[in-house]
Amino acid sequence: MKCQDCQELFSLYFDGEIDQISKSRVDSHFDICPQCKMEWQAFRNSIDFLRDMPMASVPPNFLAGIHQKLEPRSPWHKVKEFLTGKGEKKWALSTAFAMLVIGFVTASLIQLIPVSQTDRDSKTPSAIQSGQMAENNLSDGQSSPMLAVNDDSKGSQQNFYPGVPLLSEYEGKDAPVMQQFAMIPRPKTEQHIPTVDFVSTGSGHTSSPYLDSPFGSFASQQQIPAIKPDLQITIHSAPRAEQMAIVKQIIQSPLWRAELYDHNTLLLSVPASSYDQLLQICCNEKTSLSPDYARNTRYISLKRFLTVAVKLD
Amino acid sequence: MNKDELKTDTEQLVQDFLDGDVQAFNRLVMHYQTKIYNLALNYVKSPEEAKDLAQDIFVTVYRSLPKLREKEKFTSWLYQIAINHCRNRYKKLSRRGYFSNISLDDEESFLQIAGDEGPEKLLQRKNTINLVRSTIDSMAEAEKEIILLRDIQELAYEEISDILHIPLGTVKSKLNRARTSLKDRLKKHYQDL
Repeated sequence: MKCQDCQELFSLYFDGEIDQISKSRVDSHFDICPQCKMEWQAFRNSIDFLRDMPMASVPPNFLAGIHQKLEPRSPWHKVKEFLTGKGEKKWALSTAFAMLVIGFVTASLIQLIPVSQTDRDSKTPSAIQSGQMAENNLSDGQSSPMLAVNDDSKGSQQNFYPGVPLLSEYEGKDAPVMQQFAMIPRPKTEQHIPTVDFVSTGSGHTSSPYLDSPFGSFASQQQIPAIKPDLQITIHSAPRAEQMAIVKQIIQSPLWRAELYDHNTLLLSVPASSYDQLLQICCNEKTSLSPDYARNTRYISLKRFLTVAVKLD
Repeated sequence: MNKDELKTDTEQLVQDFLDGDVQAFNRLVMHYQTKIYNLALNYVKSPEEAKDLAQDIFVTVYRSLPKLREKEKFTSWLYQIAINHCRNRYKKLSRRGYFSNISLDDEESFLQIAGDEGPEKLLQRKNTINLVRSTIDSMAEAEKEIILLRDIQELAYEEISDILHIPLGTVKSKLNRARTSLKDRLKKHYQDL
């Protein structure tokens, strides 16, 4: 028997779990190998030391403590223990603090994130192109990176709304001239619901004399504040009947508020969501829009309500 | 009470408890509290923590006992619960750096060595115990666990196999390796022992 084989049997030999044949082989190996015998004595002594270790006695009230833990506790007691009790106290307080900090930081970050731009036009410069341009600027010797890059082809104006044509593109000779209005704020107290109650009551009022002699009598009833509309729709139809048909459609729609501005102008407060419907009613070859790009149904204004002036030519 | 008597008594107490005798649980606790408390003490070192840990083990036993299918394996099942609790508590306390604040002096306080030996002998025995304890603590977790179960808790090979979920042959080989490791570590201090 090799020494290694002998020493691998020490544990079973000690516990008396060894079979008779192996035991006699180990015994005979001890007779011829003093080294293994010495190792065996050390092995036995170390386990004897271990087994001689005294057991610690159980602290008083051990069993009572178990029954105390088994008693049902009220939810308030659990909360109190969680916040002030042993064991989890540190974690409870630090977790609450960490949650507060995370919430505060997240809220701050959300406010800093810019609204992502929608890909509205094929002319929109991609982020990669912008990045390349910024890199080129850097490589040209500029010391600091630019936050925005001007498109040289469109002059020096910054294109803050990629995809939306610049106003300068509509300032050619053919562009309709926007009527200039002075910016006089409307007094707040004058919450004048348009006296066009006939607008919502159906077709009965469409033959009203007020409409047949367009707006004149209304215009004289109140002092009209001057405002600047977001866009102006001019109806060029020659016969008055055609013009009135369009006006009827506009004022009968429940989607927006209509108000008379002067004897031939109607002011509408149109929700941005129903702008398309307005275009369907009054945009044809006999109307013109100012600015012209507003004819595009994808015209996007940041306002929730658009002020539209409908003018009879 | 020898091992066989303890086993028979335990089986009867388990059955009584399942039949609704709450006092039977108290008697089960009395049978095993010292062993479980000392097992906990070997993991967490502090008497306060060990008491809390051992009580948690018995609370789990009380709540889970009705689910025990093999009543005759109560001891293995009890130690399985105990080992799981001890490992979890040990990890939890380690993460908090709890053990860096515990010294051997603290451990001594719970060892009440009885006997009518003289002060010199008593001191020598105390030193031996401290040396053996620190040697066990320095061992790898798996080696330490199997030695505790066999040589301190005096469990059978089959029970250790059930508790640690390892085959009987593996228990034997691991135990031999662990005991040899203990011998090699203690050999350095044999002069002091």
